[in-house]
Amino acid sequence: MAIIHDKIIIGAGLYGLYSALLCGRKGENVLILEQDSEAFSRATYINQARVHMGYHYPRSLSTAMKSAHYFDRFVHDFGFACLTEFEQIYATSTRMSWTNAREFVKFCHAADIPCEPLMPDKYFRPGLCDGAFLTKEYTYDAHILRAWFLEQISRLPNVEVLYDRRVSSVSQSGSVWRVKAGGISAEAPFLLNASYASVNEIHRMLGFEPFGIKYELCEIILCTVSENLRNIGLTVMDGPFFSIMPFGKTGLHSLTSVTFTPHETSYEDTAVFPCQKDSGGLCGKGRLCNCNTCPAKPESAWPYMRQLAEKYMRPEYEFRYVRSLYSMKPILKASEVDDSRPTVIRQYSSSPAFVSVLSGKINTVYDLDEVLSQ
Amino acid sequence: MSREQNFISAVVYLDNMSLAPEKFIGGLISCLDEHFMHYEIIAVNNGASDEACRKLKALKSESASSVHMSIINMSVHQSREQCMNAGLDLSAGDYVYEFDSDDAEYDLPLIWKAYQSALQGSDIVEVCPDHESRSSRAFYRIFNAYSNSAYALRTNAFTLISRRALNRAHDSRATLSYRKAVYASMGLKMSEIVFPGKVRGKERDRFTLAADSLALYTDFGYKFSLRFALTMMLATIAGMLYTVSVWLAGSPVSGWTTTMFVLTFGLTGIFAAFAMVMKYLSLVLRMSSGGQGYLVESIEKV
Repeated sequence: MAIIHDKIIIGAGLYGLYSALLCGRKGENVLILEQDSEAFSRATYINQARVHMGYHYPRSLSTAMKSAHYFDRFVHDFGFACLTEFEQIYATSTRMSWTNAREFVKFCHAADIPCEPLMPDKYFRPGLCDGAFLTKEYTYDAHILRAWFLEQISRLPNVEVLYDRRVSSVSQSGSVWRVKAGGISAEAPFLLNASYASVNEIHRMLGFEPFGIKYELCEIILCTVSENLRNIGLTVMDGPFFSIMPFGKTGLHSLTSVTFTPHETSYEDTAVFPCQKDSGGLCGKGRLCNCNTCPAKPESAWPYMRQLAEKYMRPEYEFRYVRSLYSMKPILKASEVDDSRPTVIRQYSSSPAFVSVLSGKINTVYDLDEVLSQ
Repeated sequence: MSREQNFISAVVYLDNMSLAPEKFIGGLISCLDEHFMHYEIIAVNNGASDEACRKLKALKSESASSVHMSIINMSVHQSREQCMNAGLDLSAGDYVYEFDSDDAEYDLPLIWKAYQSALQGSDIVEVCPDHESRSSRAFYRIFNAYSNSAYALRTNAFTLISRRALNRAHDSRATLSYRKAVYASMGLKMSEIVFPGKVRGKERDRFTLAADSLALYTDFGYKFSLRFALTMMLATIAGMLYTVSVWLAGSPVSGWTTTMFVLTFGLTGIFAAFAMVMKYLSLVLRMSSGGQGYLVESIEKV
């Protein structure tokens, strides 16, 4: 006998837990189905952990302004999980860049975000960057955030999180969705698909049109850094460059590069990768396992990322490899040219309601408020 | 044998003459893979056929080793130098190989030999054929006679350059219009490896490059115009003396020829000098405009 909930949420990432908490506080009966054994174990944790203010999108003013808009609200709500006391420096590469120092300043003024010019030579080897700017951008700590969400949710008897429950089928049964996951069956008139990289797998079960996305298997490298780099984050824009910045409050820095962070790309509606056959049956088409715990995760691109970072950074800044984190990143195909990262929320049906969300930014989570108020 | 720790970049130029780039790059990969732990291949696509690019991408998926390969697609057809500059800007290696052509007449072990030569203290290693075409020889003879760099230039097949030499090259000029000339004049040690054979496939846009290079990196233009001006002055003085003598002899009508001669010759000289000035000005304008000097459409990671 299936239990009827008000809402079922697929995925215990930030978007899933945020929605659960929001609805749970309104007294709704919410069930979260997570395929991994804990929350925040994929993209919410494994990314650059930026609380975006918009600097990252110098070719998409709309994305930038949206990020800036939510920045203060996010810091107000989740400041306890954010590292704020460090210098976040954005620089523009002299060569091969899609932007330059002058355009970046113009862009920051247009987006109304602070940007204070610095001497590029203080951080970078001579001639490699034509501009460096002190910006206001923070980094969040996913584990602190997770602890807070789970603690808040545990106070609500009407919200339940079930782990190791992979959704195996979804079907309509009258005015509700019937969801089967890991041996249980649950029903609700509202289904929120917040499964990020698995978003199209759920669409496929229902025959809904897939999001136009490509998939990148990404590697984030965690490093220890020398004392002079501890309170500095460096990001070189906008092209085949790199970023090294504090990773939440862990005391480590994350190192990523546009060229070497993505290891493989899949252009299918549901991800297909050559490494899936080596995963011991864990992963396959329409069934993405957690890349970070997968036995077939790729060899680290550390030598390449280090080389690229060292090409730019002054030699007195040192960093050492600690470990790599891997995750799957879906990217909307339409956003290649302007590099925008819109948060997509699409309602496929209203009775029963089915909503899918896809976002690559943590602080646009508030976009969900409207659709969840149904 | 333990492989080298240094990170190597290899920039390879491709255009519509590149029919089987996968052959050369395949050989290059096997050679680099044998000797180096970490390397990247950067192919600069200056209008190579889709077929050639497809074969190149297939090469990556076939090779068992984890090769990092990028393809820079140039927006419009640009000069070989501009393309190579784009490739160099993307490269991150401690040492960078520059292959101006994928049409290799030399043995691949030369690639490793060039690296060994660099380790012995050369920042720049030029690998050159012992055969030069007549026009190349003529160009380099003029170039070397008028340039004041420590090393003479000659036709080369490929170059290996250290990162510090590249940094110095970029320090001295915003845009490298003619890399070889800049490398030779930087005051860093340069060595040559000569192999029996010749190079092909570098015939395009050579004339413009030759003219630019002579003007930019030698004092050929300056000396030429100076000599021309001197000759002109002597001719003018001679004409003047003749005019004076005709005038003294009392038959001025015959001076008309002289006047015309001086006028036409003088004006020609002035225009020639102007042409030189224009050449210099256009180069100065281009070099000081601060742009990177090439247009890239996209960078693909293969």
